[in-house]
Amino acid sequence: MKTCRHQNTVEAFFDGEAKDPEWVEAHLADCAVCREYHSLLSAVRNGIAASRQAPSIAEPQFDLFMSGIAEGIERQPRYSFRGLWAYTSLVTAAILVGLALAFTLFPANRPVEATEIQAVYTDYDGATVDWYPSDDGSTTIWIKTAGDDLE
Amino acid sequence: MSVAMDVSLFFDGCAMKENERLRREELHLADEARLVAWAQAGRMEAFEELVRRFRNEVYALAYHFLRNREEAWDTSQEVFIKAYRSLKQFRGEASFKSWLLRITANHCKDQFKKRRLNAVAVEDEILMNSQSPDPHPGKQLESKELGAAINLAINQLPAKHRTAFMLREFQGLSYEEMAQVMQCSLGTVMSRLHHARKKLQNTLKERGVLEELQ
Repeated sequence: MKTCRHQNTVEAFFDGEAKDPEWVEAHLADCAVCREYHSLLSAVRNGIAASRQAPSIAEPQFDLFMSGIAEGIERQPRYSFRGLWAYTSLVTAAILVGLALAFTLFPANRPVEATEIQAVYTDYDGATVDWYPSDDGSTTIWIKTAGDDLE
Repeated sequence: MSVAMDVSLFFDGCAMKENERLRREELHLADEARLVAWAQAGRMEAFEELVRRFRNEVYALAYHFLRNREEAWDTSQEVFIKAYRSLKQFRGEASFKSWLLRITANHCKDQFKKRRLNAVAVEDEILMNSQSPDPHPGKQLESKELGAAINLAINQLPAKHRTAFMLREFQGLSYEEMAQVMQCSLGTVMSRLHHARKKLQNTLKERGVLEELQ
């Protein structure tokens, strides 16, 4: 099937939507490809019109039709499976993200780190407290009570 | 005393009937925007009037998608129920008809996905045609066959192209209305329609139907 770059314009003309119908008419007179395309569009439309029966809801059927709608409106809206599935998926994803964040921010067995110790002291009588920084960055706090006993 | 009461009730009944008549007339004369506003405010009779006005557009579109009268009937009712529940979301940016047809098209596409239409759908149309008497039976058979061939070809179109084609050829919507229903630009409407027509022509040509149409 041959084509012409103005077929879209011809189509708009066919649908009564052309911006410049006179130009399209002139073009159709000159262009055999577009003339054929236009006649095909008409043929399909005519074919549809010939075979078509526009169904309708006649006035006597209206009350029956409306009663079904009224019944449907009165019923509570059903939660669709798709909606429920989406909701469940969302909640599951939120829980997984929460757990992942928790494990990232608060990993288990993580050593307590003191970034800087300025002073250590104790109120126990006779007890001494001291601290020793290690090479691995951790700090040891040493508490010594009188008689090595905290009782 | 009893007679006086009967007369009073009779006049009350007349007054009620007259009020009812005036109310119906008011609804009948009201424009679309007013009816929508009343329906949004909870006036069921206003919504009923909207259903009365647009039932055939919704039903015809549903039928052209589904090719089955019973399903189209049920689907149309579902569309109006959905529309009633979503009335508050309607802001009047598009016409109420466009909004309804958008709901219908989307609902039908969902239905269509659930059960892929095949020859059964066309049989329904042939059955329907065969029930109506025609003074030219030969011609009717010809148009029935053509109709069946066209419907089969339409059913093979991708959903977006099929919607565009149906809105234009079966509903007679303008490009602007189609853009509102399909929620896309005018350019997209034209493009989808063009592709739909091209594919349709190719399918009909392959089956030798196009020559018969011409």
